[in-house]
Amino acid sequence: MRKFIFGIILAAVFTSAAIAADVSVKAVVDDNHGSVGTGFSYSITVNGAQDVAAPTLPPMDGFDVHYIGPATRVSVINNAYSIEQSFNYSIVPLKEGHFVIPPVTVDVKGQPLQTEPIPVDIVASGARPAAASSGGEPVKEDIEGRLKLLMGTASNKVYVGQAVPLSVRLYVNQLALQDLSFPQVSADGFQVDPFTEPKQFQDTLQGVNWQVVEFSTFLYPSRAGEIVVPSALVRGSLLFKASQPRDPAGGFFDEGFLSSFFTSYQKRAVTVTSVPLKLEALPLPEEGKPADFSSGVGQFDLSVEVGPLKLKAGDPVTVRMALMGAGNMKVVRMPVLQAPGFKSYDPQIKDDAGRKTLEQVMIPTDVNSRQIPAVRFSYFDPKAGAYRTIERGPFLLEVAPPASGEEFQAVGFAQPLSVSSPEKLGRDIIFIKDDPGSFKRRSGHMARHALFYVAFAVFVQVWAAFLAFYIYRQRLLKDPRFARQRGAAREVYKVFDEAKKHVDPAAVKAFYDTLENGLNEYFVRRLELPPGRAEFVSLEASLKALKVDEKLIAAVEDIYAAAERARFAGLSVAEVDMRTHLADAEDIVRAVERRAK
Amino acid sequence: MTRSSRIILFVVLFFAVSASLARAFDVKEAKSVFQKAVQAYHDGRYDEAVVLNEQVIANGFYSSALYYNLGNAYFKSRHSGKAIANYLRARRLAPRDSDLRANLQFARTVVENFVPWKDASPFALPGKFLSADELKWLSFFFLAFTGTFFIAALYAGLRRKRTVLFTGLLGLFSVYLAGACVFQILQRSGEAVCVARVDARFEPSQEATIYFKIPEGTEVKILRYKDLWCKIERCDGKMGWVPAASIERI
Repeated sequence: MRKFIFGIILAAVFTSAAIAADVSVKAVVDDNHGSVGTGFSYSITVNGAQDVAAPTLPPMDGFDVHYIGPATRVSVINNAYSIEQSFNYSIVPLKEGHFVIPPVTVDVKGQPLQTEPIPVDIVASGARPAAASSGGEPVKEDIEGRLKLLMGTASNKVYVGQAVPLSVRLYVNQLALQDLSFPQVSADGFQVDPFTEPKQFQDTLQGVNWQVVEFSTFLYPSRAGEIVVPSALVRGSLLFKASQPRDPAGGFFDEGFLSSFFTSYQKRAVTVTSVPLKLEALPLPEEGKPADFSSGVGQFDLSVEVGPLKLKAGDPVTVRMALMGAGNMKVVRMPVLQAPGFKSYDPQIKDDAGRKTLEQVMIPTDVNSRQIPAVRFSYFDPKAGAYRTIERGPFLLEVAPPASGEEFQAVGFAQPLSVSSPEKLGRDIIFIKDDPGSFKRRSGHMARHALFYVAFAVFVQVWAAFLAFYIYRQRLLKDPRFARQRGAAREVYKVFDEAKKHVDPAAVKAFYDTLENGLNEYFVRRLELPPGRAEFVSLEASLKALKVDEKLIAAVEDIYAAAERARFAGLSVAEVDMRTHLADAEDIVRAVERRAK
Repeated sequence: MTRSSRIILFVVLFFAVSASLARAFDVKEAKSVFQKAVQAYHDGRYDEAVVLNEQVIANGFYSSALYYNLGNAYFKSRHSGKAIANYLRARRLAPRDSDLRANLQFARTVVENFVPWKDASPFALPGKFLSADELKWLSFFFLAFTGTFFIAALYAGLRRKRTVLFTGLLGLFSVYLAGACVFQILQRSGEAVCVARVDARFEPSQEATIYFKIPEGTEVKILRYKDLWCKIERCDGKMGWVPAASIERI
């Protein structure tokens, strides 16, 4: 538990630290050029924190400050969560002059963060320069303060031939601009690519929000030494409301009255220039310069594909290279393939944006042409300040001889190339065998022996026996009546064996008791007579129904009578008669079994 | 063991040993003659190799290698018809022998206008890889296995539907193999090769009109016999009468 609480505290500490690390505060005004009595907005924005208390603004001489309220903005971009809290104020200048809105301290979860001071120019009421929004043609000084053109590169130290990203940013504040031209940069000592389509975004500069139009391109220094990129120049049209003052003598419905209903705009050409840019171009080092240097300066990657890898002599194989990366792609020389044993066609080179491709068809003229040598590409890496070499391959081929009649015919060569012809093979029968294998006899054929068929028949009989036994078992399990009847026969034979032991004139009673009870039980189960002692009348009817011989029926009656006499009269019976009765009883059972099926 | 049972056992053993000794002797002799034929072939005495190999066959022995060697000997003796006949006999016993296939293919190239027979029957397929004897054993084995499996499955209490399905499939397969075996036996009963160039006639008579000519080595099917004549069918369906001595049954 302690560990758990400690973990939570630790996580909270780290989280708050992370929050503190990402928190920033800035203050902006919507316009730093105002007039007395005309208010402008002032916002303090806290990035990366929430639940921040509204800061207390220090006293500002010459301004009347009103707190409007907070605003919170949450955004999720590419799964990155960000929060921004703003505190908005309305500031009304009370007197003209140059003022500085002082830094404001914001308490972000106990951490005091300060805003930047913002300079503001206030003019007298009525002398306020007009922007497009407010109407009237702006004055030159005001335009200069609301338009800026900045030009810059990522680094001032570059190498000759290096692709240097050049950015030209046009900052616009509270002005409407149209018909912007691409920047014009005159080149001397470097080459410059055409500018790409501009991007637009907002940026804060000196506490003021600016609309930014950014133009990007690359420049390539062509000589070593100091290079001055002259001032960039952007032309455009400034849009402003064309306001017409009303003639005091013109009456109520004069032109000025009508025009106030139909606002018209006017354009004025403006040109914005930047300050020049100085770069130091370093020469490429001679030390370690590869002999096959491709003039490439930048970071590159080369992929090479060769196909097909299995072919016949005379079939074409295509080598495809693709050079990608950031660098002076236009002046880069693609690798040259030197492959002996191949007829090479002129490569097709294409230059797309940021990608240069080469496609070259080669034809192996011989089955021994089994390898396209490795492709090397050497360039200078300005980040590392060193030469690099990329090597791809070699590429192994499986070259088969051409099919007959499809031999390679070289075109454009002074002398026909020698192509190996297909091997001519002799033809004849294959030599005899030394081993006769296992000799067979004509008379020994399996199918001609009766034994084969006997074995087959035995096989079938065994299956049939198993199958019959299986069916019999199933019937015993599923048919209780059948099971009872089959059991009756089995039991009665046991009784007969028992009775045989009593074949003795001295054991007459035991003999007949056993025999009669056994028979009675058998008849009850086998002929489905009512349980208990079977009446001879019903027994006789059942036996007759089975068409049992009359003599045997009479024998049954005789056995029953003898049993009665032995039991109740205690008369002696000769052993011969006892055996006769036993034999009769067995005959009766056999007859019943035979008939009952 | 009683005296009578001892006598019976002695008699049975005597006959068994005697029979095996007699058989071993015959096989030994057959192998000896076979080796002589091999030597004769090796020395270029092809006619003698033919005679020796035929002698082994006449004594009731046969094997795929024997027919193969005999076919080679005939081929070297410029009897392409007899060579093809013996290669075909060898192929029945060893259908997967690549040497044999190559020699048969080569021997057929010397036959004028050779056109092969085509068997479209589904029962012909196993015969390309298995001999009739192998098919017999396989079908017998599968049949025995099917029956045994069925009985065992019943006693083991396996699911009846699955048992019936599996047994049925096994049974069908064994029947198919048996059918392929029967097909091969029936097909072979009529196969023959012309061992000499011969004229096929409309009637079984030397005076009958000649219908078409059959080059040596042409494979035909025997339809019927009449006296010393034989009615054959060519692979294109044409039928005619040829002297029975001019063809050799496979």
